[in-house]
Amino acid sequence: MTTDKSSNKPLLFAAAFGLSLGFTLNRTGFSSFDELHKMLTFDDLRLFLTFLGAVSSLALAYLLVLNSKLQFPDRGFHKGSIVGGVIFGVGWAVTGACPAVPLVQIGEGKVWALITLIGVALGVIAYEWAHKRWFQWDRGRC
Amino acid sequence: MMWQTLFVQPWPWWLGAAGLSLTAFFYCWLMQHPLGISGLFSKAVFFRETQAEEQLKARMETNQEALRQAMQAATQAHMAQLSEADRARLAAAQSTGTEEPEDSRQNLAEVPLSASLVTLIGLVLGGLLGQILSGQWTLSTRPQGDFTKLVVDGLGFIPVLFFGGILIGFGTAMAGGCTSGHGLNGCARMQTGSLGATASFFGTAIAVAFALKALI
Repeated sequence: MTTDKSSNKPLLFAAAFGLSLGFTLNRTGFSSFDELHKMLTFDDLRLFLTFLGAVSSLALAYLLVLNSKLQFPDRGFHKGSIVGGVIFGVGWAVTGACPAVPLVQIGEGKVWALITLIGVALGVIAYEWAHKRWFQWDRGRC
Repeated sequence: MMWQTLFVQPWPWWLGAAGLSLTAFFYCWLMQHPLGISGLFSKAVFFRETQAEEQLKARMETNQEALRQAMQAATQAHMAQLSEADRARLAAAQSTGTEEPEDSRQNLAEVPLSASLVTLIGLVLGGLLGQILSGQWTLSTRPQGDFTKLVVDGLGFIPVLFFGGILIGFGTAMAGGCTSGHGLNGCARMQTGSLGATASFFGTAIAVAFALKALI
């Protein structure tokens, strides 16, 4: 088995991927509250199809290429899977944002997205505190 | 016409799907880790812990290599002292075990803090680029559009976005992933935990969106 040292690929790649994802989120409308809500209320299926198309093609990529190159850990259910999803879902619908989106919105000139961003950071910190204090289950890591 | 489709109009579903899956694929291929923004976010927020972990890992790797070399040297020294007969017996005992086929797959790598930060900054630049190219970049100091009709008008956006953000940060940390980590990669890999989490946050978001619509 080859070494599992930390990836030391040039930072340029990391930047390019961020740029690509940010650009895609902007161009698809995933960073737009209005577009997201059209998806969530089934007014427009475009973003649903975008998501389904992305998952399907990525599934193919995993089956054909990635699964034979890398050893991926199991991501089974854990105690935080569903409740965490519910909490996130409320935040997502109310703000129109998932963790990447406030960053994309700041790039788009939406200065107010800084508030969302600060909230996300505090939420992450608050969770870690709660996790150490009460939960302590294994949630893997994305 | 091409310019319009690529840079001005909202992307058709297949173009968006390609953008997301290609980004996720090449990221995973090159960084040896699935693309998960909430994970990168956590590393950035806890940058001190992340740095300490990376330094400890580097020291352990150096120590392990030194230990391996020391043990190898000790084994060779011991073997040199054995009699011819004993060495032959040892060799015979070792070769009766079946050889396991080598797993050529690599372990996942941890994304370093530096790369995490750079990717997060890239998200900002991506938004900037997209908005500039579509000719829609403008500095805005408060949300506009459906948010003001469905959620809150006026300065109420400040507490709403702040507490909404807390829910996002808390929820994704609890679930161990977000729309990219669980939604895209976890579902593509058909992991039960990711499918469950994705169904959970999608289902909840849909319910809340309908509630907001009903409560105008």
